[in-house]
Amino acid sequence: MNDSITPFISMMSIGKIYPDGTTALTDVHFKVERGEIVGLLGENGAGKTTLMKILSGLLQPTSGKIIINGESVNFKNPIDALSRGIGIVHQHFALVPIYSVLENIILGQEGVKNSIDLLSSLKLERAREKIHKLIEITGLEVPLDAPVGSLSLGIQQRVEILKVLYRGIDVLILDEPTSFLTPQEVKELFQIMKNLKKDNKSVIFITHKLKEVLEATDRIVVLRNGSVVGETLTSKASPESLALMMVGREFQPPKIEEKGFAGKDLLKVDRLTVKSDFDTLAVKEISFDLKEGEIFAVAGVEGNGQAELVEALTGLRKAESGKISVGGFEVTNKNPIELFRAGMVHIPADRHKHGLVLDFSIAENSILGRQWEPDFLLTFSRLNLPRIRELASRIMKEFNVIAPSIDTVAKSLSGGNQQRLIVGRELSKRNVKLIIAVHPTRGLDIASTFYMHEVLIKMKTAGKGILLVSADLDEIMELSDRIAVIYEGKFLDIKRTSETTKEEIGLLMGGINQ
Amino acid sequence: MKLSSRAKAVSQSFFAIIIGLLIGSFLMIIFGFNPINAYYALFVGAFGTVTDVLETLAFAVPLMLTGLTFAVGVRAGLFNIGSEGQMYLGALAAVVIGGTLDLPFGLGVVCATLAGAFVSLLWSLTPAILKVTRGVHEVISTIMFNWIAFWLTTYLIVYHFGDPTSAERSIRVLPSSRYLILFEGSTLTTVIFVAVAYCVLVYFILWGTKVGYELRVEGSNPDAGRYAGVKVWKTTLLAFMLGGIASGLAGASQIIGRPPVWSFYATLGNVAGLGFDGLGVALIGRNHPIGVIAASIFFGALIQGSRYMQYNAGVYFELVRAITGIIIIALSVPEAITVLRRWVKK
Ligand SMILES: Nc1ncnc2c1ncn2[C@@H]1O[C@H](COP(=O)(O)OP(=O)(O)OP(=O)(O)O)[C@@H](O)[C@H]1O
Ligand SMILES: [Mg+2]
Repeated sequence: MNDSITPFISMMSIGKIYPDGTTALTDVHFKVERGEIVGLLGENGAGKTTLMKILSGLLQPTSGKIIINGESVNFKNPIDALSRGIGIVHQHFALVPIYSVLENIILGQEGVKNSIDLLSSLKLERAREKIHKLIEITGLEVPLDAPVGSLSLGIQQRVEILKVLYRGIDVLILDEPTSFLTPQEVKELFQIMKNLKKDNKSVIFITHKLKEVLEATDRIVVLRNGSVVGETLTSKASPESLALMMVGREFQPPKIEEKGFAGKDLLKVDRLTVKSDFDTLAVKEISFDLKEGEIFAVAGVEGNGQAELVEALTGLRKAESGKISVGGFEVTNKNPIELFRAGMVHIPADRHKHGLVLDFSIAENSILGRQWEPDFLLTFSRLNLPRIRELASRIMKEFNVIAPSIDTVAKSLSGGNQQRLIVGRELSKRNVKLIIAVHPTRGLDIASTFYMHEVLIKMKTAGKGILLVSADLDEIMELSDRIAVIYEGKFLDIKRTSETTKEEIGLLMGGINQ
Repeated sequence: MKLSSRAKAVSQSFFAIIIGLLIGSFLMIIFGFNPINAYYALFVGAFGTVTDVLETLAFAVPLMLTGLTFAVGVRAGLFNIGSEGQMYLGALAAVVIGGTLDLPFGLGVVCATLAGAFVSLLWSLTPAILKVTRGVHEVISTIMFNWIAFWLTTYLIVYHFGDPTSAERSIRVLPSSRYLILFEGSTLTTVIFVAVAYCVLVYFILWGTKVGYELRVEGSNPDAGRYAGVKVWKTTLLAFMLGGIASGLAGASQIIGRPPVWSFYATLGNVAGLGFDGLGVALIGRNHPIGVIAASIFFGALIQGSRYMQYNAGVYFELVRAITGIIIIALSVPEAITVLRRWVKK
């Protein structure tokens, strides 16, 4: 760390009140030194994203100021912040799927104002060279000419990072970058962060995983309810001390009961083949069955067909061939509503794309996909608004969605609270039989993750079947009864969790089958 | 938060209106007019007397309906600019039924109104079906259908339903099919109740029913629509149908609900352009049925007030059009950005 008296960047008594009156931050002091990796911890809604949006010029603080190298700055927009060397990679990406990686990286760049400029091959070649150099320094391998839409989220994230680095920044802010990465990818990301540090760049790293923050950072700042409640050198921190700081009380992970009993077949998938958006085969003749009371996990590096598999199972994508049945009824290529009727619920991977209508209120979002349920309808298919509001309040209470009211628009919820809303909506459905849960704890803080695990275990004990798709191997090892490893559209192997190890699954995910 | 996001929309509209009026006053100063006098005249002209208010409302009636057509389209994720053509056919149907069938008073009005709404609805179905079955973009199809409607209507008025005594217009609507004038000396008729009631009805459909909910989901986030099992053909059809009825009513309202002509000019002069003005109305009204009612009254006031402004402050009518144009641009900027973003994402 740097010993100079004036820190490189310091945010002084930052306060933020959103236009709707929500106080997100009060009197926050936060500093970053050159060549330092700072971890930012905090529960869902603590204000981490808000603080970083202020630092990167996306939001203006209500009070307080930002000082860089002893000089007070005033960011009106992200471009101002970029020009002072601060760039952010968001919880949700903003890439243009039809453009190539290269185009995405240089788009919006000086001299590249629109797609016409992109055609200038000279500029492209020069950019390509510069990016190659960046890749060399950082280790951010990406296919420069592939359309971004065809890439996995993990690779898209690298593109986002490159895009920011390409603008020549000194401080890279990563908002929950690991939530959808595989352990291998996380390791690589940490290496990239170290490389940046060696290059005298600073990194601010937001995460909910204590293990990660302990492994990857130099210093840790903890936010709670919009205030800094603790700050420590990573070398002096322990998981217990951090958890205590974050939550304000001690707490225990839930005891996970005996596992390994299973009932009747619930979901049967027979030689399912699914195409990707690019007309290639993404899922190749996969067969498996999932029993009542079983948690069946699909592990794999993002982009190996799990997204397409889930979409085919949940009626979002056409199955080319093969059969899917739930509880004995064939449901291949049925509409999502018919699947819901058959007792399937779906916690989607992408909460902004599929899970929510961001412009709708919590109340309106709480019936997304449930709008046909007779519970919420009156004669002439009128919506039963009091019932809907009651449901929304119940979801908020039971799943701890923190927001001013059920009329709050989903857009203004923190990432974790959006996830809680979706999970709450899906799991509060009636006659749930089969839960397709994709990254169910993505973006959730520790307490909510534990709660979520408890709920899943409860569902399992009640005889429901759960298909768990997760990039978090710890989560998979902890919860599942069986694990299938998907690689290039096929299940390499299906293992009993009790008979395998994390290492073995990790190797299988890389396509190595001993 | 719903309140506050709505408040935000309302304040954006107000802001745009103020910008429009400000830039308008610069224009006036450049052309040597006194903007304060001019706006005063505009206001007095629009709201000065009861009759002025009624005229303002009379101008608002067709605009709230054509605005609604566009607004419902946007809510469903569609860019339905077919209001203009649908309106011609609505007007035509109203004059044909209202001018030929001699029914008892109440029944005559009802039949002519329904005819207008129904024919316009049928007209709007083709672009809807093309969109649903063949993926034809609604901008293309509705523009084409506007032109077809224009020539078809002109032809029918001139060759089949012309007034034998005066070639420039159609047969007249029989008294039994005319809406009642609300106050002697004004052109506002009871048709305004139909227009407002229809806007309110559409509001209830969009926010209070399952199909309306699905329509808004589809318009706001099509991916979430798929996730929620929304059938796009259903929401598209519904949006076109609700819009078609609105435009039909708009057309009919100018024929059987607007004295003194009670007939359709062969130039289509008594309705031409109202469909396109609806775009601006919808924009200012933030694509919300109730907002559209308010915006149409604002537009009505501009039209009515500008007549007075023209001879009292000497400011040309065209300047008023320029001001409305500026307001629309000021409003479109944030909206256009979101629309563009969505397009890029596709
Ligand atoms: N646009 C907004 N309008 C109103 N309130 C907001 C808005 N964005 C965030 N908030 C509120 O501000 C608080 C802090 O949110 P923020 O997104 O910074 O949390 P976070 O620490 O990033 O949480 P998470 O871990 O869930 O992502 C929350 O109470 C949230 O509801
Ligand atoms: Mg966040």
